[in-house]
Amino acid sequence: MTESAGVTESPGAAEPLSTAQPNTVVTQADLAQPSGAVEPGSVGRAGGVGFPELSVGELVARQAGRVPGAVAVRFRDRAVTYRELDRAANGVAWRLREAGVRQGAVVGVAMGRTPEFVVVLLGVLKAGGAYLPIDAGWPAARLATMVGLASVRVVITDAATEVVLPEHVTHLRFHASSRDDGPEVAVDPGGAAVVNFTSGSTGEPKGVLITHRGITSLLFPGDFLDLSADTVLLAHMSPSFDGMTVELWGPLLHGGTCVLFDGAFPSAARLRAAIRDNKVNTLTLTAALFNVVVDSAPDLLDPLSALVIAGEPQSPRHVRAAHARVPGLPIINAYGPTETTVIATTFPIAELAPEATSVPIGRALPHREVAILGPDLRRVARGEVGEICVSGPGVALGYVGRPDLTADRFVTVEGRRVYRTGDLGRLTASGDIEFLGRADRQVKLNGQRIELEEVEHALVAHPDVWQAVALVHGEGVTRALKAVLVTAGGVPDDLRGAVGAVLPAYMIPGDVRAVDALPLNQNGKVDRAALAALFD
Amino acid sequence: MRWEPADRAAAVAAIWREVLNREAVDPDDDFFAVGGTSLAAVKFLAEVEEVFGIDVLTPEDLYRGSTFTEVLAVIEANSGAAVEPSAALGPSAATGPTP
Repeated sequence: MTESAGVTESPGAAEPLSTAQPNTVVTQADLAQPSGAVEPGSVGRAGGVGFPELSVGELVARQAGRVPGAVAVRFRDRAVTYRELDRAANGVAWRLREAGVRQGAVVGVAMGRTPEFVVVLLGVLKAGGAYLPIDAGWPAARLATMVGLASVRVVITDAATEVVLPEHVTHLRFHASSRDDGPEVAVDPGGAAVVNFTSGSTGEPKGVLITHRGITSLLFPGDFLDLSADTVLLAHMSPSFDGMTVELWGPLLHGGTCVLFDGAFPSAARLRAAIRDNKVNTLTLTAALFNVVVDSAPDLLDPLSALVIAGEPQSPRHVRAAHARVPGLPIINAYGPTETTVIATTFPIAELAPEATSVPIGRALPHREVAILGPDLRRVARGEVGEICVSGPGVALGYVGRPDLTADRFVTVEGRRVYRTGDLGRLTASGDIEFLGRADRQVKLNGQRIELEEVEHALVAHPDVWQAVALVHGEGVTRALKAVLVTAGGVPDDLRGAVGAVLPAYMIPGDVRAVDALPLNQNGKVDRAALAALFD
Repeated sequence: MRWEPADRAAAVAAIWREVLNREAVDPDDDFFAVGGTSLAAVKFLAEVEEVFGIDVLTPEDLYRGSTFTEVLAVIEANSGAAVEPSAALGPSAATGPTP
């Protein structure tokens, strides 16, 4: 970028994967068109082409200059203005600079979902760092692995959060700072902003390096959510979940309000009260939680003006029921792996065909390009099944500390960097993509990605477990992770504790059975259907 | 109309069975040990709220003591006020309304 116009066309987007190929889904926007200079905040609506070539911290600072008294964050009875948020984050940034944090450094943040948490995340970004949200419930061994992979030297906690950290890590306790001027740090928009860890099939979690540009290109124009200064979004997801990127920066890059859900456990009653008390108009839900809301508390949706559902294939019955109840509410089915910055494609539920038996994942967002590729990384014909591959500015830098895994999944096709999702899909006649499952053994439970191999690694690490197969079994809210073992004698009493020392709670099988031998099918492979039947 | 204790237990058991997809309920059954996930908890809490009212059983209550006996005791203690049991005792006690 030669001129500091503030806005640019999507970097590297001059050559979409293939506009000419009929089986390639390309963004609506003509990405080759220069966008011209548009002030952040008004980007995207008029031309719909550009996103600001600025860091997340700089964009929030500009909102603080534009609407200093507007409420940025609400929590309980507190209302934090943009001016207060920006100044407090400056203090954190100075503190981190003093602690040696420089461009590209990953800073761990283990805090409750409070305004101070938002202040710290913004402060990390202003200091040029990338934040790694840490769930205090993670086992110490797993946290140590993450800290090692991401070369974390500094972790910030609040008074309510206890974490066990490797000795070389500097532990900072959050406190308000008197210094509130902006640090003179030129933050590279192409640099890392967030590290989100996901399950890894090698037995080790993978840290995805998400960039500022990935976030800004997602949220400008952000029209999938109609983000604006009027947006009041309820942030309720786990801070370590990549959906928080949308929940926080969605409103905060546009002058809107982020309402922080109060409480560790979700419940329909609390969501309803939070929506009502704070005049929330925008919500994101995992498919699984959405289904529960539709079944048990659909009135919760009534006050909303925008709803995004994501994380797993949607149930046509539930989306139809929600659409029938609140016909005026735009409901968007969103799809995307963490590696392409939260969302790659969207499908408006209002367009669901009456006879549809599945909910399409739709089409690429502006600034995302999606193609269905074969094993040779060439496009398959329309209608044929292939791997969903994503390119554009949302594509992450890779897996922190693991160039080998990065090279495996982040490949170059026709001169463009492409993330191979491992998800199977096909392009339908309507131009929407249909999701058809996984090419491997990755599963999703309540929006959480789990590599079954990683669970099995942890199970067979127990000395009395000889073989282990993890699987997902059950329907609806009882759909859960389970495991079958071949052991020295029954399920070891200390298995849960041993597994819990390396895996987070959502990856621990809730029901474990021991068998004498694993059943095999005609091909001599483990008969997973027979194993699943053990739990019927 | 006030809940009779037996009705209350039956109503809670109906919700428990429906949400956890189980045929029988033992007083010592633990919600999270018999297949209850965090999502199942959201559904269970929502159904309990529908029948017994808001904050009769909070998420913290359920996570603190999750056996059927413990859950029932909390609901008993917090639902002294008049409530309409009819919704709970019908055949579709715990399925909730489908819009």
